[in-house]
Amino acid sequence: MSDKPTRTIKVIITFAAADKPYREDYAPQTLVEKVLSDALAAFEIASDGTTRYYLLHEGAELSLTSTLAEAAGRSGALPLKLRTETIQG
Amino acid sequence: MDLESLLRLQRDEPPVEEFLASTGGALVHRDTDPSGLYWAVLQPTDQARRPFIAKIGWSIYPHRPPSLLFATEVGGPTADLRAWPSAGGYRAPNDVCKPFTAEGQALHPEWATGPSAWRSTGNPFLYVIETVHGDIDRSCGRRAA
Repeated sequence: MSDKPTRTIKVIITFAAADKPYREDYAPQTLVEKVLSDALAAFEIASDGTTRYYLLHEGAELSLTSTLAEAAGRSGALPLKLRTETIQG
Repeated sequence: MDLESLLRLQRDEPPVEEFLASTGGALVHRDTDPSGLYWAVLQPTDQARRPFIAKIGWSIYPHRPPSLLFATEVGGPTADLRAWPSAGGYRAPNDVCKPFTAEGQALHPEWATGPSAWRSTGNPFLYVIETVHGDIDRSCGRRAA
């Protein structure tokens, strides 16, 4: 049995239309899709299909099917930005 | 514009200026402009493209979405198609039919509630600017004409 501590990635997501960021620790293999879903719930955003929500890391949009480990690399922290694209209009 | 709106706008301006500067743009409010009126110079990520000039007029901040039009230059007219982005919902030279604009909300009363309702939390000024910049980049900085 290994006593090596379990690695987690500290995710912090800022959203301009929210009063405070969303912070949570995740396992590295967690999918971006899961984190996005959690963040939307935390920001009390109910998606209805008329707006697309996505996460930016260092200016680039993250794929929903990528893992946090892929996005964070060796870093233990992953600062992200929540952005929106209105589809209707 | 009421005093509370002015104070809230002053509070929220610095992050907007910082974001625009980081993308090669700027936020302009001239002494001659009415309170609540700003000109955002939005530089597409494709630096070969010319910047857009968004004319943003706040009425009651942060509780109402802003009027959003596009001008040929700071202080210039908004009727020129060449000043407008070629992006979905950006209906040059009339309006931006999106939930984050006064024009969009006026055209769609059903947006007043539910997921498309205006959010007055956080920094709505920054939210609008980031969203418009994203729309411009998705259309590769193209113009309506």
